Amino acid sequence: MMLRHVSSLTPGAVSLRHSTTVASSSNASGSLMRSSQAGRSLQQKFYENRILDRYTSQEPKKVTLRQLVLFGRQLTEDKLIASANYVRSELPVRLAHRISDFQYLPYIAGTNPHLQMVYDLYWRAFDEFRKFPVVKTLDDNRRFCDNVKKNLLEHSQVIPQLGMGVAECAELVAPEEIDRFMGQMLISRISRRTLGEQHLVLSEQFDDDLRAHLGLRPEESFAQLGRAPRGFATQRIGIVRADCSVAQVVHECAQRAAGIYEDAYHLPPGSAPQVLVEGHVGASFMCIPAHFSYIVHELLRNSMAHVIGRFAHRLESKTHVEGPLFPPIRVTICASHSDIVVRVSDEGGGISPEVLPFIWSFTHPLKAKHLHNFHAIHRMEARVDEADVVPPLVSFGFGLPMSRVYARYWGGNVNVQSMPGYGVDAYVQMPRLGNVVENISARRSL
Amino acid sequence: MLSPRRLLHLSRRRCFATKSHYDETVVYKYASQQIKPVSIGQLLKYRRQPLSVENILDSVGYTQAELPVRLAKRVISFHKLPFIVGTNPHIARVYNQYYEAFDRLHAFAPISDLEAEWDFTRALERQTQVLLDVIPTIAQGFLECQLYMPREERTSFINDLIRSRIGLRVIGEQHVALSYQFREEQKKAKQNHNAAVSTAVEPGRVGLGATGEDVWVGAIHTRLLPARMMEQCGQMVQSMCEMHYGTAPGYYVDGDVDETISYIPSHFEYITCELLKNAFRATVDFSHSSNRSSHPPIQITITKGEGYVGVRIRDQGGGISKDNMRNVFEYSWSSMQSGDSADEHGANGGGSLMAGMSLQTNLALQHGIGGPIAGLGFGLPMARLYAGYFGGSLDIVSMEGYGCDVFLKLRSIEGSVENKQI
Repeated sequence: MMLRHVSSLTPGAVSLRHSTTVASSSNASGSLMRSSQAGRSLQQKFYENRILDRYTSQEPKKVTLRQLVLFGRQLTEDKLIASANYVRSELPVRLAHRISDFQYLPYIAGTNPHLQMVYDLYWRAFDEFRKFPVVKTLDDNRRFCDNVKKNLLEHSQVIPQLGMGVAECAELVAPEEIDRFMGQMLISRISRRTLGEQHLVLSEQFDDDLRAHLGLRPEESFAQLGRAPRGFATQRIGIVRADCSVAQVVHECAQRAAGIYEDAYHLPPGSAPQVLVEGHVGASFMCIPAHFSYIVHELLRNSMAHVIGRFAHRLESKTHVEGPLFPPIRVTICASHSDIVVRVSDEGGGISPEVLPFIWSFTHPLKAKHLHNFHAIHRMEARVDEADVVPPLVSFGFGLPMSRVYARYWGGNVNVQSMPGYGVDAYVQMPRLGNVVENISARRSL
Repeated sequence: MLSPRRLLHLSRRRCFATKSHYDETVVYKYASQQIKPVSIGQLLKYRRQPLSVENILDSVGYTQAELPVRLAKRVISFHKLPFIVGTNPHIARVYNQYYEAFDRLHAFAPISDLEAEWDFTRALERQTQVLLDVIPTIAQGFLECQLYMPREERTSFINDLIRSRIGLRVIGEQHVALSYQFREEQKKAKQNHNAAVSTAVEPGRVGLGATGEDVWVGAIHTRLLPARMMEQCGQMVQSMCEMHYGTAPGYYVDGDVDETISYIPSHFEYITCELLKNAFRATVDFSHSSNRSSHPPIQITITKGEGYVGVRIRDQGGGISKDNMRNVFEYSWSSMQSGDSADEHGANGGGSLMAGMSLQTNLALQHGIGGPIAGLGFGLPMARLYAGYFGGSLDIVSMEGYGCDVFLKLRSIEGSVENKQI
């Protein structure tokens, strides 16, 4: 019946004809209509998939951290514009591969309203970016950056929506399949946001440098500025750090985590479990600090939560305890030529054997009750500084798998060894030299 | 008792080269039978002390039924090797050893009295002794046959051999231990009987009046203290390390040091020594190569989980590189240097046994620090197979440039898992 209605493939014609079909089956797809009001209906998209195929047939052009750094070493207007066009053409390709992943989910999962919403968001973003005209001038770039910024903001609801969606589908689809889907979604999301954020920061920094160069005050308008003066170049590496100090990140995360738990449990300041740092304390490496911080923060949070939980009785005891209330968390930094390994070792009693097989899963039914906590929040970007938006004590069951995604994105890993009855040793391994290519995959091939 | 026909059969077994193709029927008959997997229930069957004659005859019956089948299967597995590999003298030697063990043990008529049982037990003991260094010999043989057999097949053969060997030894050692235990108890009972007024005794049971369970059930020690085992092994390995390198790191044991586990001590000992050996050696090597002035100690932590004990061994031996990590549980065939053995490890090579340690562990120690087959690269894969045999596990985490963490989990051999088959 559908085929008869399609005489041409122009979006307008199709939507007109399909409106009747959709209306007549409004009961069945009513919820679908409601959830994708801003977008077009599912059935329409089936025929527009050809557009997608043009992009899924392209492989993502992956970068390394070193390339990002080298790029910014001589940042001229031309290079900035080249970066804009790289992002402009790369985002639709990467989005297309993930949209394709959605399309291969079992139908029942794909029709879940939360997953539908993300699917819709992705389609719109894909459309927007693929239709965005080639960036030729700094002004074009500013418009492009605004677009990227808006997009990043709009998509900050993706993680909670995905979380809710997979929680609701936990019974319907095999855990391994959903885990793989989630892993790929999240890693690709990190990659797109990384590219976007890098370009945004580079553009901002370039503009600032240009203003400074031209002697303009910050509030002065750019309107009259067409091109940058010839030969103007600046040196920036955006969100990358070439020599991020591991010990410093650990100390910062430790302080932050201690603050969170001292507040939450009303502990006297300074009484949270101590974090001792040992090993190659002077080590540094090339990374995106925000990513690395997220991982370290999650691991320290887990350790602290478990240690405080295990020795909670000491809090309640009225008798004065000599020395620190809790056994310390020991962080050991190990640097080799090519890798950094950070071992976070706690005496928090370990992970119970029932939970252990599922700690890396996003979706296992045991965790589903945690995932329902996503209903309580609307935005989540999986960033360290989100403590005021995301309640710190609410568990989503996401921390460990998400940390692993961040680590694997640049070719690293997160591993956990549990000693039930004693504690946990968690290991983060990150390549050090920034010469590993992004670990994103193309869509699932048939 | 060995019948004349059997003796003749055995004498024809003498030379590999002249054996007749048609002698194989007996072995094939046994090899075609199903193996009954060793169950923990069987191992712990006689834990109620004291042991009775029925217990012992029951045990020998089980052993007599199981061992020849398993030995026959090992023999047959050699038949499938390429001919050229089979003619290698080391491989041939092991083949003959297994064949002889099979011949001697299957030839016993069904046992119904203690005298026959004792003969069988002594024969079993002897064969166990003979088959002790099977693994290094096979390893040597396969090393020489590298060109004739692909790596996967060699690995698969060795894995099967080791797993099967563990099973053979568990069954065999269990019976031998029970047999000795029974006779010990009998001797003690006679002494008590002579010295004191006799109490009424059930017929067929040697009553000791002992209450409560004893600690040993055959080869299984039901109240093994991992902390003490780690201390002992630590001391042993430390001395060997000092002997070989002239220096050794310290070590300490912490965690749940009072926890006990029900396990076969020789297995635990073997695994522990293998792991400690690696830790000590790596630490000394790394100190040397990084010009470290002193050795950081080896840190051993005991943890207790539900029905099992965990041992974490931490060293600062520089870790294992990513490339080598891929192969760390593979059998390493190429690390043996031909000129390595005799000269370098002069006085230490070959002969000296460390008192108080099982023969198996002694060989293991010799294969590591000093000794004729140093660095053969069998330790870790074998330790892992041993750990896994009763449902445990062995994991290694490497922090390159710093050190290694080894996580050993051993499941307690409890009656609660009676029906578990291994």
